[in-house]
Amino acid sequence: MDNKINTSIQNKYLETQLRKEIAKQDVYRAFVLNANSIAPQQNRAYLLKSRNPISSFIISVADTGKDVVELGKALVTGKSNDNQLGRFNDLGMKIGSLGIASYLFTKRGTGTKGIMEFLGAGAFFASMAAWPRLFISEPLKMRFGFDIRQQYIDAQGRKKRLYLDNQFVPDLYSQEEIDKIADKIGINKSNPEYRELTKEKMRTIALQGNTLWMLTAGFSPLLTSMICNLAERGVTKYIVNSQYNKILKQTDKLEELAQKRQLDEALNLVDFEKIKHLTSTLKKDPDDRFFTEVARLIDPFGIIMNAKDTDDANLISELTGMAPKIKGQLQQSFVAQNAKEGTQALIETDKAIDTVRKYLKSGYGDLQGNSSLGAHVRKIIDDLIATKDPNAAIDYITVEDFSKIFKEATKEVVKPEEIEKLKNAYKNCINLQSANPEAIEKLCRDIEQIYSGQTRPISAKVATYADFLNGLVGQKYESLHTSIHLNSVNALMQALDIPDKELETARGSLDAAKDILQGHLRDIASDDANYKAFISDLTSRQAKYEADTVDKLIVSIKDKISRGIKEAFSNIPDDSPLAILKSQTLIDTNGLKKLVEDTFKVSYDQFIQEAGKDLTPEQVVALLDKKGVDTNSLIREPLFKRVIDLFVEEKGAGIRATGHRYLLEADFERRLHTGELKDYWKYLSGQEEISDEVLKLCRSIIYDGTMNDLSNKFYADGNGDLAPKIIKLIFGDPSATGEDAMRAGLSKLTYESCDKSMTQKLVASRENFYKIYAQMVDFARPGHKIADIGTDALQKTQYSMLGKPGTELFMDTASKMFNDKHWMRIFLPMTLVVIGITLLSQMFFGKVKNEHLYKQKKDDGGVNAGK
Amino acid sequence: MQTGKVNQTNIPKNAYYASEDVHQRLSSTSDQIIKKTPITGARIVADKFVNSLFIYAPKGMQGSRNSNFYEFLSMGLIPNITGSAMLIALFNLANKSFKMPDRAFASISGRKMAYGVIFYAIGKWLGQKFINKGVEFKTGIDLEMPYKKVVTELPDYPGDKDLTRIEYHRVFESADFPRFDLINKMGEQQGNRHLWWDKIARKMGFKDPLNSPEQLVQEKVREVAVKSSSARSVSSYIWAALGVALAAQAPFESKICMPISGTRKERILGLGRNFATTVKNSFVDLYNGNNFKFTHGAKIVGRTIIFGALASTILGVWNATRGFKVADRQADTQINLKKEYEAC
Repeated sequence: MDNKINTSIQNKYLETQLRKEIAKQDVYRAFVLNANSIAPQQNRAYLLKSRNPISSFIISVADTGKDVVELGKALVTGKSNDNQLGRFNDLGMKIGSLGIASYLFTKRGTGTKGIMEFLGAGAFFASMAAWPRLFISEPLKMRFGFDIRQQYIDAQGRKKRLYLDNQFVPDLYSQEEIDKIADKIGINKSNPEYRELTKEKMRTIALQGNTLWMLTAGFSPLLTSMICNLAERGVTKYIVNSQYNKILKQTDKLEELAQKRQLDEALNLVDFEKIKHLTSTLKKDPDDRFFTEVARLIDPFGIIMNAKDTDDANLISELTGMAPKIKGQLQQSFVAQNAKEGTQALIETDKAIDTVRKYLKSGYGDLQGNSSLGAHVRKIIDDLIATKDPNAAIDYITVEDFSKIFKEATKEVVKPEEIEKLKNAYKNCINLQSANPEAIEKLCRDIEQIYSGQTRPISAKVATYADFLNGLVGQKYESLHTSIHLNSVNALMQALDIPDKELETARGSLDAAKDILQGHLRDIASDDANYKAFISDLTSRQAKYEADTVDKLIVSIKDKISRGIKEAFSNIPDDSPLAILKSQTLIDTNGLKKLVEDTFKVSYDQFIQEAGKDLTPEQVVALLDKKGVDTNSLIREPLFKRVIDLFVEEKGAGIRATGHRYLLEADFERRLHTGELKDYWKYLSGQEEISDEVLKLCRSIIYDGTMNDLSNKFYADGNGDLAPKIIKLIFGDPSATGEDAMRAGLSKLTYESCDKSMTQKLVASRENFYKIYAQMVDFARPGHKIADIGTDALQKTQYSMLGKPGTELFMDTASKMFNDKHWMRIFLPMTLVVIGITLLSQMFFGKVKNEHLYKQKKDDGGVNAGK
Repeated sequence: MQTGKVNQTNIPKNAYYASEDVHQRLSSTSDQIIKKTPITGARIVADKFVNSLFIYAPKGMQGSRNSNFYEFLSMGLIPNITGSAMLIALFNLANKSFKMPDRAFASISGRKMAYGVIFYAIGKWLGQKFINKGVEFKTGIDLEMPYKKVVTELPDYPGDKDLTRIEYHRVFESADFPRFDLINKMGEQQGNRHLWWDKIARKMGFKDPLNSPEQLVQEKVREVAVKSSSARSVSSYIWAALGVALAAQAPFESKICMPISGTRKERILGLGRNFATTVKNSFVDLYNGNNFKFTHGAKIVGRTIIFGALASTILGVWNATRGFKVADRQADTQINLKKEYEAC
């Protein structure tokens, strides 16, 4: 090999090597030279700015939406990260809580309770979220100038909390921000390490705050319940208002609702099964039970009444009594039908033979034990056997033929007891006849038709109306009526201003409650100004309540419902057993009363007494007809009108009466105070001083009297002299005398105590009370006029109409108020203590261990924990 | 196959746990999967709770540098317990002083709230358990596999010698960093590094042991862990809702009584029976939506919750384990999975 070549090759190789070396050195030089200008990549994480609560709420909702999307992705791909998995857990909690709240919502019978379930769940989450903010992070922020719940977006774009992990706090605050915070915390800036110290303090404070959060978060239900307690009042108010509006709107849609109800299988399923059951098993020989049950079934009111509470049922006793009448109709039409198609009424021959044997055997047996039969009996049997068709499994003979055979065979019999026996046997045989199959077939078809074609439409309509009216004026909890009433009761309790101690005593027993109520009323009555204020407050509330419910709503919807029911009734064909509902009319008692009073110039009550017995309005009309009075002018109201009246007007009467009783009680105490009562008693009893005995009796009548008490106890025999005087004393109606005083006084207490005419009579002597009272036109209590079914009303009805005795109402309300207050007495201090501890413990936040180490760097090294 | 295979005869039969002496030696000094017994879970929770109260909370309140995220999460138990107690107290504490009819009515809602709180917890726990057990049944992956973590702290004061602390974690609790290393370690202690992986690979449908099972199995395990964790977070709360809905039924309004006669054992049994009857009846009520005004709504929502809970579990397990049996669907591959490594 040539050396040159060799060298050049070597050189070439060397050159490459050298170049490589130089390149390496360049890189090294470049690195060394630029070392100070090369920095790690910019941190892409950044702090989130704090937002106002509204936008942060909206963002949190949006975040929840994102979480749902992310959850879907994670479930499909199986790829996610720890941060996201943690968020899924919160998402699941929200879904679960929504499930719980909506389930509990469906279980609550009343609007407020239902809404409170959602509100409760919402308040729970809100207070879980609010607790650490309100009592931990916000106070700390105010004190130290930074938010321990500060969020940031990490380099991967995930939202996280800066101080979540104590050992991983990204360094994201700018120097200016740190400086500001250092000022706020009060760190000496001459210390060159003050920024590090500030960050360390921030970390410490955040950790302490987070720990405090974990320790106290469990008490946030306290906050929830406080929120809910406050909210419930608002919700109730809101519900009442929205109910009010809803009811007004609903009146237009009632027909639609009724239609829906009629078509709703769920509401009719059971009944339809029942009817099928009845027709299939009882196809033979419909008996009394069959008609009873069918009548109950097709009675459109029966179905409704079964579902309602008994109070309702009692109030609408006229309607519940329709079933027997329908039964009568049904039976009649069936008998007619059977007769029409029943020319071929049949008796089973074998059964007839057995019956004849059974009823006509002589009583003596032969040696084989067979009863001996008379010749005529044998003839009957033989003749019957002769008619039998040997091929038929069951053989029938017509009633006509049977009668012929029977008569023919028994012509010779003369003995009276034998004749008696024959008659009996004949009757029993005739009873064997089964109803005409076609007639039964038709009956069953009819029942089904009536049920689906007439009963269901009416009952759907009436039930819809009933529900609607129940929501309006029902005595159930949270009808519009009750809600407004409860408001006025609460207002009354406030006006009475009962101290807690007395509340506790009052809830204990009726006697204690009565003492306290009476004491307070007496106090109020003894002061003119107080009494005036109290009474005007109470009456105006009562009047507003009655005007609201009675005038505005009831009157406005009454016509609509009236028309609706009339329509439903008019659709009943005249030959239907239900037509009896249509033809049934009731006499307008007000008109009747007026007629009686105008014609005979005596009160209606007196008239009835003179007639000698309790008469129903119908009987009175008959009596008047007999006496030649023209009763044609009397309005006969169709039954459906009574339905409306009962539903709409009477149901509210009890609630109204309850309010009125408080007024009476206050009035009584007032008159006692002014001395008016004493004078009147002197006049009534002949210069006798009023005794404690009498006062006690008076008070038990107006404070505690239930309807039963009033009609029995206070009018017990032997009390006959005192009672009328007492009634007069209480109600001050000098016109009533004798027997009348007993009845009328009671009736007036229950039904007419606030009647306008009566108030007018009393205005003169009871200025303070009745002047205000009489101005309230609605106090004439329109419902009570119709409710004046008076003495023949069921006791329970009367009781319902009377309202709750004042003492009882007071005791119940006191008990409720005590419970509320007692609950608050336990939990309000607890809440305050926990909040106090939470806030106070923050006083000690921010002390950094080994703070002395953050100082001028010295040669002995850096900062180390533990030194 | 793997080299360094040791005699496996002395390895305890039940799966993959360290032998007793190795366990003893290693467990105090390094992270270690711990053997699971029926009460392990309860003991861990108890440990966490006691530590939260007496160690973690004081540490946190002092602002210690050594407080970590595990401690923060563990302290989450405290509000769970105080919160439940608070809810029960709010509905029950005041009732004693109420007058009779009020007291009876108040204690109905009090009782329901108490049962509701307890059933919520039970429901949530069950919801998690069902998915975990379902996944374990189908894949062999025990998602709750606990391990003990030894944490070294900074000294609190000069000369602080007590620097280690024990934490209880789960091997698959983190989706980002599952502790696969501990699984390998556990296998190594028993002489077969691939012991656990082989087991899962078998479940995946590979009949023979693979050369390097982690490669295939790890990805699947991650997938299963994430999917089941996602499903768990929804399902467990639906189960919790079911618990609350059950407690809201009428049968829970009355007290569940212990029979007054009989031996103690009989009485306790009777109490259990009464309780079971109550649960059964309320379940029927929940299903049928009995006795309430909004029967229709209650029925629909009640059934939605019942079937929702069941469906969330079944779908959750199905979703987490779908596609787990890869072996059946393995495409023809050029790589021979069974081929041994060759020394170069």
